[in-house]
Amino acid sequence: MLHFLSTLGRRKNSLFGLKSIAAGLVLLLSAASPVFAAAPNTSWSATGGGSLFYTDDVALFSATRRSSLDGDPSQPVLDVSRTGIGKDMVFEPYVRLSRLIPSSLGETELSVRVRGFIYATNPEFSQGSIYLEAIHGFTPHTVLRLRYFTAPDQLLGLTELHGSEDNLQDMRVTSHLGTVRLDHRLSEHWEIQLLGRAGIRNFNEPFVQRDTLLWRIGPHLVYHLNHHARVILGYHYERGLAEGRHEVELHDDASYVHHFASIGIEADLMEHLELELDFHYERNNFTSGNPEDERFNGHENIFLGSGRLSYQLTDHTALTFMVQRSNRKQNFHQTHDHNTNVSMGAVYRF
Amino acid sequence: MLRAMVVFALCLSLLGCHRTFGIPTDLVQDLPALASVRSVYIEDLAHGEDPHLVEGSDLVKEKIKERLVQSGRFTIVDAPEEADAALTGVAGFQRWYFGMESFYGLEGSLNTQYSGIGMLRLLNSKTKEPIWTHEYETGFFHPTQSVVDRVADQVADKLLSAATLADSKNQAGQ
Repeated sequence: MLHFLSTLGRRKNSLFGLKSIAAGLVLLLSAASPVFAAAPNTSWSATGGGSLFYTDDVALFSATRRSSLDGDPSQPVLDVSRTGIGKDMVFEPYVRLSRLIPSSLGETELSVRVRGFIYATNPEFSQGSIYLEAIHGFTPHTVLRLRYFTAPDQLLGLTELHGSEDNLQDMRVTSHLGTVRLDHRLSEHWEIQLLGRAGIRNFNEPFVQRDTLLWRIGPHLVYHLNHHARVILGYHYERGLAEGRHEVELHDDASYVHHFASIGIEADLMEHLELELDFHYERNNFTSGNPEDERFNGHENIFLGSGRLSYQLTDHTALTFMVQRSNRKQNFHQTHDHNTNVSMGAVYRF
Repeated sequence: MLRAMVVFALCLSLLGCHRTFGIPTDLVQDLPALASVRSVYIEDLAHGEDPHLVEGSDLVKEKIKERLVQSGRFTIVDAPEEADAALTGVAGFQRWYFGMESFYGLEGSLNTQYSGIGMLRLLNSKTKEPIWTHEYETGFFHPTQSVVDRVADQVADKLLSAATLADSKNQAGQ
């Protein structure tokens, strides 16, 4: 009975997530359609697409997908001992609606993106996320980018409550993150980008001690070999302060220092065929000062590699193929955790 | 599944929408008039649009000019008063982006796709009446063909083809 109720609860949450995703997509498309039909010379544009993923780890899929310099590499995941839930097929639909606003102060682009992860056999993990962005080009060489990102009520999976194997509860997190990035082209070949990010993560009731306030800074250096290839180097430092640091008796202080280093290569192999290769290294040093806390003197190493090919088929259609592989290891658990994601997708510009 | 189908249906509803840039969309092919056109003046094909919305107009214009001169059928003149007809309208390409985590827009990144733009009219220099019109047809890209070449080649191919037809009909009528 308890299992049934738990499953029902998770299904309700999953349906809520799916409804949010569908409503977001429908609203965006509905908003775009009359704009195109009634005023064809306005600068609105809409892009939509979907990818079908195979993943070998349901619990790690979204964290791996979002791990990038501009993404959310510190998204919480289950402890390594609790991942490995299983394989699944995941459909990732997305819509991007953008508008360009030229002015005497430069060009500004506003955009909204809505993305969903819809799991085939583990629908309770389905989730949506929203990106609101404003990009302003002061000059062709200096661009300021602002983003608000939220991923509401994201299920991470079953987690031990108060360190008891007999008391497993669904852990859910809602993230609100604000990002600012200043890009400046130094010369024909060199570009520097400075990124800052701050936000909060709110966990569901049994895990509120993990609520985290975080901030991140880091530079990116881009070397443009020519118009068809570039190399991107980046390093980020992030500090996360969890509520649990004030509640020593819970032995659950998830505060951390996060280091993220990345190298990526993007190249046009042919006129319409592009290749991206990325390698990331992440290091989480947990900062709990409580010797009875599982994370005391704990750290985590994450290695992630990804490759993506995109081919523009027609004026409005592109095809994508992607492979990602991550490897996680925490020093307070004896197991390694791997996650491999493979996808094929199509994108259409309306 | 139902939700996915609703979203898919809405996506399809957007497929029929396209921009016209304020240019009349009527199709004209006045072959007798085209047969007498020998000199052409090509106007600025940016058509006053924001350069972020229509890019590469100069490149497309140069490519069209090159193709028409190579054909020997038309001469390209530098002043409108010297031309039998003027090629006007908008031609170029627009960038679009996809992906989720990366920032896009304005400068964008290599993660950029291109869609061709072309709405052109060949106008009689004296009467300003349309002689020939062309609207860019979207379709499959050749892997090695740039979007500039695709837009320009389409204009040149269709105009030269219409001119050949006009000339043959004109000769048959004489």
